Amino acid sequence: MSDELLAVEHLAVSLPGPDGPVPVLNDVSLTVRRGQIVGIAGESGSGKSMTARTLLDLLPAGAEVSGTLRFDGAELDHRDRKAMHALRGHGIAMVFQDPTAALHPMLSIGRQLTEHTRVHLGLTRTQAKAQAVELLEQVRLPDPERALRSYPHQFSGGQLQRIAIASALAARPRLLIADEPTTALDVTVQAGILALLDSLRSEFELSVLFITHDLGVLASLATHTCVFQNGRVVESAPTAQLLRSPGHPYTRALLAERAETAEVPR
Amino acid sequence: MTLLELTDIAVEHRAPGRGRVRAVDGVSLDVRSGEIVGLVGESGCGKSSLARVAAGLSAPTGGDVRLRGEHVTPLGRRRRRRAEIGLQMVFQNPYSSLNPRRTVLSQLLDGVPPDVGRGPERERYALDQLTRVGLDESAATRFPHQFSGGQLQRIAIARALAARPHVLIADEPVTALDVSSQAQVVDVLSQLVRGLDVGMLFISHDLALVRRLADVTAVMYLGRIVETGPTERLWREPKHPYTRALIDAIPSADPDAGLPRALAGEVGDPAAVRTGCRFRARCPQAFAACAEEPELAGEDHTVACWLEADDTGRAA
Repeated sequence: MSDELLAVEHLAVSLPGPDGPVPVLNDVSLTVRRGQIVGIAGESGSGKSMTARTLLDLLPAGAEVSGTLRFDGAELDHRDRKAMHALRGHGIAMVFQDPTAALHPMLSIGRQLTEHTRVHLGLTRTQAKAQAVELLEQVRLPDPERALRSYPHQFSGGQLQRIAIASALAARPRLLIADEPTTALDVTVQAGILALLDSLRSEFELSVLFITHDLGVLASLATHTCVFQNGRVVESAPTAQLLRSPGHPYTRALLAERAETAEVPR
Repeated sequence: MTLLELTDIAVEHRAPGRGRVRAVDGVSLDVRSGEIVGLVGESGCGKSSLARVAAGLSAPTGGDVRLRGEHVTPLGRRRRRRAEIGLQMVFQNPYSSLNPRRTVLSQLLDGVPPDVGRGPERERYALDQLTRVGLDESAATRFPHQFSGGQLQRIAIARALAARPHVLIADEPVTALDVSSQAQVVDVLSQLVRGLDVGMLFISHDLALVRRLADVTAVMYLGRIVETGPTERLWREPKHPYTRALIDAIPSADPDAGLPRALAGEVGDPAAVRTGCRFRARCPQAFAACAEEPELAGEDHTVACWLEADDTGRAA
């Protein structure tokens, strides 16, 4: 398909262990189209984050990868370090779970939001600053000018996550990988981040690979959802269909567990 | 029977260049035996400041903490009074609340009361605590780094239980843990509270977790409790607009539900001196009366909101 942005086919990853390689991903295939949000759901240890890390070549040393990864029509080659470096940030960017760990505590927000745009996009200092202000406005952070002069400890967790998203968007990536971006946040803040990602998708045709343990987060956000268990995709379907009639017993178990606590009678 | 009584607690912090920050402003809360009281609110609303006061770890600026009718004096350099040992805390991060260089057994023995006996009996008692939280006795000789986060938190709970507490204060006990180990720690906590008839103040920003665990839920916003009530009732019929907003922000697994509704604005700066209802600036239903501060009112299910006050209250 022509609007396909990312294609992962038959991906298998194994990590070195004390008794030989340990398989962590097995025959994983998924596609993300332009302007589409795709969800990956599963419990911890199911291989969600490993998939994201494989795409950016952030795997631990000694990992063995097989299968094909296609981004924007071209095949990704992890041995080509230069190409991978150019891809990170500009092609694919990532937002991590813990925004306090993702930002450097001793550098101003301004420095952290302009450094990579100057490298990747070759902007001058003034251009980079203007762009940083614009980005912070996009993520709806109040008073961006002042924010640029501030340091991470001066913000709340939700504000920091929005800054981390701004930073990930700075080099105009076409795919954003969000690895549990709202897990550490309050529900009210989470709702804001979800709305933000959805509006970025519709405004800028941003594609998002959204990794979460909570199927509820994906319900209204992702058009397509893949459920992971033990390093395999056990179910992959349009989100609405997957939630209405889950085909795999594991998906049903995830939904049932959720219904006990999180479903509110409305 | 009421075990822990917090009356009109106020906590102020001073920070250079910010003036005084009133983190907790007049909170009253009771914990009864065998009861789990859940305290929810967004980060920065003063939950942890209140927890530290409740556990006697820091002194409140105003108000009174009583454990079984006796004053709890904040921990200083002196040794804790015997009566206050009945108040134990489980901290957020087990990686830092356990000593990495001591074995699990030696840390558990710290909490064993003196009347248990001598060496072997004390050891037996400590090992029993481990089995109580569902860990194997062989864990005793190992060091914290040999365990997962969920196991460590259960060890921390075992250590708190060794002192035969009347009340446990758990401040975000599962937030630092993996989602799959959260469930086991929550199950251990709820079984113990029911089984041992201790009371628990369970603090969390996760409403779904509080709903699953707590008998009574208190919702806190900017240093004040805005609504309390039996958990199920509060969930089904939230009265305060803030509680409603919190519940609305939880994503639903129903594909037709749409994105969860986000609450407008940011949590206010706790350093700012404010008048009237604190939630007013973000409240979709704010009206003239909100310029005055509402008091918590109601029988079982209390709420601090002018919308719920009857007409006489509104006129006043």
